Amino acid sequence: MSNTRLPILRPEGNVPESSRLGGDENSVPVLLSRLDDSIGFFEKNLSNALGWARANSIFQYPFVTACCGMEYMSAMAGRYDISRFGAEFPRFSPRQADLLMIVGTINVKQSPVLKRVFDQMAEPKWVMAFGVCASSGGFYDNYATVQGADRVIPVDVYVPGCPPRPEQVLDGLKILQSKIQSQRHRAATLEKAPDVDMQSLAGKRRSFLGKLLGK
Amino acid sequence: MSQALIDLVREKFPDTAGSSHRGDEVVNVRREQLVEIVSYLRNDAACDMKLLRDIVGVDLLTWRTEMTGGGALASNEAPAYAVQNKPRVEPRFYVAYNLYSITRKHSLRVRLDLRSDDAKVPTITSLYRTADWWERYVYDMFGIEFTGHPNLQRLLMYPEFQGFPLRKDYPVRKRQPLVPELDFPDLIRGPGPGPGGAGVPMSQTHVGRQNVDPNTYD
Amino acid sequence: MTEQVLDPHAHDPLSLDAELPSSLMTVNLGPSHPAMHGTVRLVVTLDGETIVEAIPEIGFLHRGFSKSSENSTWHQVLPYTDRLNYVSPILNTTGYIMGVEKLIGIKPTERAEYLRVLGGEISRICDHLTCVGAIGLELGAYTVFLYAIEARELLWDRIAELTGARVTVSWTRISGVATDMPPGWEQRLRDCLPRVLELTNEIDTLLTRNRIFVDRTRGIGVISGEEAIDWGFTGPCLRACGVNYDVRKAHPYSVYDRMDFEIPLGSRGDTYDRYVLRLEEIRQSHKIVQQCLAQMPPGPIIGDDWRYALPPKKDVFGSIEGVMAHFKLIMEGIQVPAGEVYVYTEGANGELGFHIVSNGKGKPYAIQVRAPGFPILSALARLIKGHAVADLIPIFDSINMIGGEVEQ
Repeated sequence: MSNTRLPILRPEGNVPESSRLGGDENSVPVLLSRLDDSIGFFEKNLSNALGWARANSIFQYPFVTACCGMEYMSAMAGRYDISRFGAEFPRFSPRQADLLMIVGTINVKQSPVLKRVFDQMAEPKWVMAFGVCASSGGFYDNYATVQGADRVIPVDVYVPGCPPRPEQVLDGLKILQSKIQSQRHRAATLEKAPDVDMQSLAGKRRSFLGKLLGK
Repeated sequence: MSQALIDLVREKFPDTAGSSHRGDEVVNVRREQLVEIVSYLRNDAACDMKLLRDIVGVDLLTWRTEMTGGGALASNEAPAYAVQNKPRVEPRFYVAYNLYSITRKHSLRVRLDLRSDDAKVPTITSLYRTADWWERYVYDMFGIEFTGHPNLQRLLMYPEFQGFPLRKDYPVRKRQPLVPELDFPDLIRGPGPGPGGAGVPMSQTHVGRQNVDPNTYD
Repeated sequence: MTEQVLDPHAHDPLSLDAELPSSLMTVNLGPSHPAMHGTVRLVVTLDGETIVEAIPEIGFLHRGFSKSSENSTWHQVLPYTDRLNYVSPILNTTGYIMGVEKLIGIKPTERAEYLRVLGGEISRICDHLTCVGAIGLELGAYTVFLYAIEARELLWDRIAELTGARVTVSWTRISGVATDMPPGWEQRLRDCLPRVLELTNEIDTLLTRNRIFVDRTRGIGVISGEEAIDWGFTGPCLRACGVNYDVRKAHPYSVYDRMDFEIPLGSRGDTYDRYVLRLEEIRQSHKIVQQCLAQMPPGPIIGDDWRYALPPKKDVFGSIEGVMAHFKLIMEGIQVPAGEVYVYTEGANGELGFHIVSNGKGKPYAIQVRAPGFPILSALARLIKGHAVADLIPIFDSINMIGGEVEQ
């Protein structure tokens, strides 16, 4: 992969600083390459509105495994209240959740479970790696631990710490919220969501209509 | 206090050996007597060792050669110094049963040595219900079979796992992934060398790790 | 062509007297589930609402503690032991360090003993608060959870001031502890303990005589004392059956023989007893903490044998022996004499044992943890059999299975 940055039209309006990695005036970082067409006025406002709504009303799926669960409990509880940021209610069904919080160590036996939960979530979905074990395997560099959940599913924001203080978690949540806000949100999408398992399913996917028509 | 216990056991089973280290009393038994001795310890009124605390397995392969500091068996492949070429260490394994009596407040360890070609032990699940999972754990980690166990399967590792992780010749970092690890164009971490745009390869990040084979360390 | 004459009532599914064809349903309580207690997979076979059989499957948090500790020096193992029972980490590190000290044959200083007991009892209170909070949360009493977590936060603030970290502290060292009480800490602890007790009493008021809670937990998950010992139970789950076994009283270690406290015992061995016992143990631990603060002697917090304890910095920079000792300790690690020892302490869930084998070198040769939750979890299938599905969660919460210690 080359090291160049993509020159692309900047969206109008207020793009938050945190989503610009190492700002260069004439280009946007690869993160915003989802903007594959220039945005018009109505689309921009719709994107901002949907972004605001999605960022401030996150339904989390807490995939709690280990010690980070203790700080997760603290972040949910009264003192470091996460519901101030709208992300309070855990939805324990992946179909209804937006944010998969991987709290704690993912070991090899757990990785298919994690992948399946992630695959079952509907777009738009984001992933937060909570703690160093989820970010990079922590200090469990051995036969049992996956060295970071991002070896199995794509991760949007990493919150390091062993375990991270609740303030770090809230900071990670704020970064994620600004990232969500600055993404392009559409009223309807005509393209398929990116599927991380495309190779295995290639050639086997048939739509319902296709099956009806006998194809 | 538990010396009296060792004396009791040796009285009844004269060919066992007793020892004590830092206050822990140990009785070495042979495989044929194991169930009989444990049953005696459990049921006899003077011993009354009704609590089986745990069953421990130890692999003695590198007892004399284990190095100090650093990662001796750190690579993903077979160990750097050829453990396989060294003379076989016998006995290779030993299994230790930690027993305790709540009424009499004494504890005892029953130790059983095993050869590498004959790593089988009779099960004591008929005596203690808790032995079920402990024996499965020792089987999972060391490969020691417990004959007569009702359900001897892996406990902590997954069934597709090959090998026995706590054996000394199993490399510590050898992972057997269940889900293929991703290699997708990384929008998150940005472009760069290495898989998924991770940046600097891991083998270059740890200054001073000289005893790791960089071809095998990811 | 023969006509088969069938009994209309037996085989006609439309007949009103016909038996409903039913079969057992298998449901998976998967490794990722809302109950916040560890990641365990339960394959439960149901007959309607009644649990006929359950097969627990563990291993989803196996992090290779034993193997990693074989590849680290004796002090590098400390963070791994923290994360075993991550709700009460000081108890784990104390247990491990006591094992290493037993192998070496060294004793910590007196002040360090008192500090370890103090930290350990605060950790025990945190563990019981978390368990009680989770029981409340799972049964729908969210307020209880918030109160318990707030009480835990107050204690964690004190632990953070004492050790530097809230949850996983790695605070004990061979022959002592790492840091001493900062100035003013004792007074802050004395100020926050009444508030913790107040919150505990609030939880007590909300749950203990609450009709709904009692109905859901009394008589659920009953086990007799004898059977519990056969299954390997220790700790609150065993004491709830009426068996008086607490390592702190049976084999007093550290300075527990100078402490005056009682061991609460249950009578029925059900979920309700396990819950009430934990609240009582919080009060007893509070008593121990007060006595520790009153009896704390002044003095050094770590021994002065430089083969095992880092020398103080003024000696490291001021004397040649200090420099040499520091260098050898950091580069080679502590050399523990060869031997095998099993050391057991009273963890928050029961008897926490460390079976430590050393071959005389700078790394442990083998460490195995006797986690108190391991045998209790193996008995889970037996505890929930015959109960309704709704009783599964209170039972599972009351045994306080902590994934980190059970799966090492």
